[in-house]
Amino acid sequence: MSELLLTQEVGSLAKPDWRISAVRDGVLTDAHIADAVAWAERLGIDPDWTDTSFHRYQEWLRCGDPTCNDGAITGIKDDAARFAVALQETAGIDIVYDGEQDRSEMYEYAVARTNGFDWRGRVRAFDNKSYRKAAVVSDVSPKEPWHEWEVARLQDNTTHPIKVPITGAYTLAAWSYDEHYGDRRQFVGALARDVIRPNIEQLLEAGVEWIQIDEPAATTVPEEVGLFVESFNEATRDLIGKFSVHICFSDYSRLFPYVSELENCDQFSLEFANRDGRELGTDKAQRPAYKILGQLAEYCPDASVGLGVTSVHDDILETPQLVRDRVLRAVDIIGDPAKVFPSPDCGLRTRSWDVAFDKLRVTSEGTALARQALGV
Amino acid sequence: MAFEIQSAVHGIAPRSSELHLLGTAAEKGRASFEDFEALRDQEATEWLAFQEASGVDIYENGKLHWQDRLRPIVESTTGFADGIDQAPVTRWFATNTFYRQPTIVGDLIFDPEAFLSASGGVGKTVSLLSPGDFADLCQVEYDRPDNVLNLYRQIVRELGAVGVERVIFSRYSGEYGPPAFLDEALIARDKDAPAIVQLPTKLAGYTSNRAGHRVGNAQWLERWLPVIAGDTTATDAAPSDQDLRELAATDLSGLVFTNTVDFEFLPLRHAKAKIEHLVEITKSANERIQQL
Repeated sequence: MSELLLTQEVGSLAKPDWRISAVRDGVLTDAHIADAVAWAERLGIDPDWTDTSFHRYQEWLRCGDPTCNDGAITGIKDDAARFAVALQETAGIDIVYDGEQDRSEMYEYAVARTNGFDWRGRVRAFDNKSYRKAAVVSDVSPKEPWHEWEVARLQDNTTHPIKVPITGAYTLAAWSYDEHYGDRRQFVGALARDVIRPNIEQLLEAGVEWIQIDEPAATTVPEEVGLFVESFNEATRDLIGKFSVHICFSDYSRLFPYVSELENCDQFSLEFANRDGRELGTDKAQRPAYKILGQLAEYCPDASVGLGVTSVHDDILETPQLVRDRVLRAVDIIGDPAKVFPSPDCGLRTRSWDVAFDKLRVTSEGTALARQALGV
Repeated sequence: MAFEIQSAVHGIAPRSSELHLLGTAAEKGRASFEDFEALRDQEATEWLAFQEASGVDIYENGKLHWQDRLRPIVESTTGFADGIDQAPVTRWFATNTFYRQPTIVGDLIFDPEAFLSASGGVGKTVSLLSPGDFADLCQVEYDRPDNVLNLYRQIVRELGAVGVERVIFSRYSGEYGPPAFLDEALIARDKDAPAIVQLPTKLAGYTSNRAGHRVGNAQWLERWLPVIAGDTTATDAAPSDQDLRELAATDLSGLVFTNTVDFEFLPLRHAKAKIEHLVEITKSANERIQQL
């Protein structure tokens, strides 16, 4: 693994149909098994073992006995996480996670494991995508550890470095209805202090070295960007570990100057491909999206950047050469390839595994071309 | 009674959970788009019936065909870059909702038939994003100062031609967006255009200094006052006696109580409860204001 221009994932992958069908409907068809075996072959997982295991799951699901059923579901969930890691590794990604295979969605998963919330219903995100939205109705506290089991399982499934994504306090507050605190600062502060920080401490105790705090809402209210910074500091202050923040589909210019007050943030993972041109080239005319990196380098000179080089909201596959040029543009602005970590713009959960694999693969291939061009 | 405050509901209506999930399933190939469209059309009919049965005075069709607040306009206008369904996903202000960002690449020419098809038809009242907000949310590769204003003139004129009597311009950019400008007034100068109402930004309340602007043909001036928050589940306050006294001290003709922002930021049952509350508040205000 090269130590420069390490590639990383950002979070989620779609769940395979065989996992969805088995967990939701208790059904595993022969077509599902064939799909799993085909992916196993592609990902370097023993296809015979996969075929045998999945037929056993199928029998267990059919037998109707609760113990058999639980065994099948556990096995299928574990295999989905294992396949997701292998998908990233096979595509050439250096820093991995489990594709959030056991998380329903970044907001819903976190809220379901936190005391103080009541569900209110489903609202639209965009196009035909939606999410369940909750109201805070009493003081918040952890109901159960959010990611302990994911990490324990992952540590058996990979030798790559891992980065654990965790939803941040500001975003959880911004995306919830407030029926209790009546004050955004109090609500965000309580989440950071009483929910996010204990979860982070638990992950560090479990041996996790790098935690990515997901804060896509960070800039949506310009006068509250400072509040996002306060909450990040509250959740990570004086903790020993590597911390990064992921923000996407936002107006990044609003981050400044507030982010210079972040005390413990090693990396900004940002979406850029979504807003970049598709022409090849490395100058600012061809790569308009990456301009903001200049400000980032000015306000946070020690931080690295998780560089979105592949779009996650369309199936159009970037070429390795386009990825290369995006990486080279970023290195030119940041000035140090050790501070650039190419990645998809965001989690790839809205793409099929075929598309996600290709997007990750070109991320890796384009980065290799950039290394070649830089001679590193 | 010399006047009566009216109630009004504007904006994109919420989908039911079933419709949300069916739409997602259709996109993933696990359900048919025909089934999705059938349920969507049924919910559009139900939304109209619910508003009427609840006693709302002014309402629109709920725009369940609208994927976001810009898209039916973009899909029915030449001069935008092709491929809006694949355009950059951009966050919609302080929410976990997004829109696809259009890019202006030429003179904007509106096709009313395509708009009616893309938007699922229109009633007598239609709310649109204000021209200022619309312009601000687009990327611009072809810059002509009056391009969006001209587009809106075409839209309003064509909507008038198909029987629309009132166009509501809603503003989201609020205190941190571009300064409000007078596009609405310029459009309303056209004597054949429907009445134009410009909503104030999202703050809910009764104080007169927050009241909606009145813009429009001289014969029909309305003042819309957002009193129900369309994006929070908290119960909205009814006007106090002091609020009503302050309102009564102003010109009450054409006063309309309405929602702040589209109800699609709420789950369906909460939106319905808010609409029923809006009607109650309006009715109660009409009764109480006579006794002051």
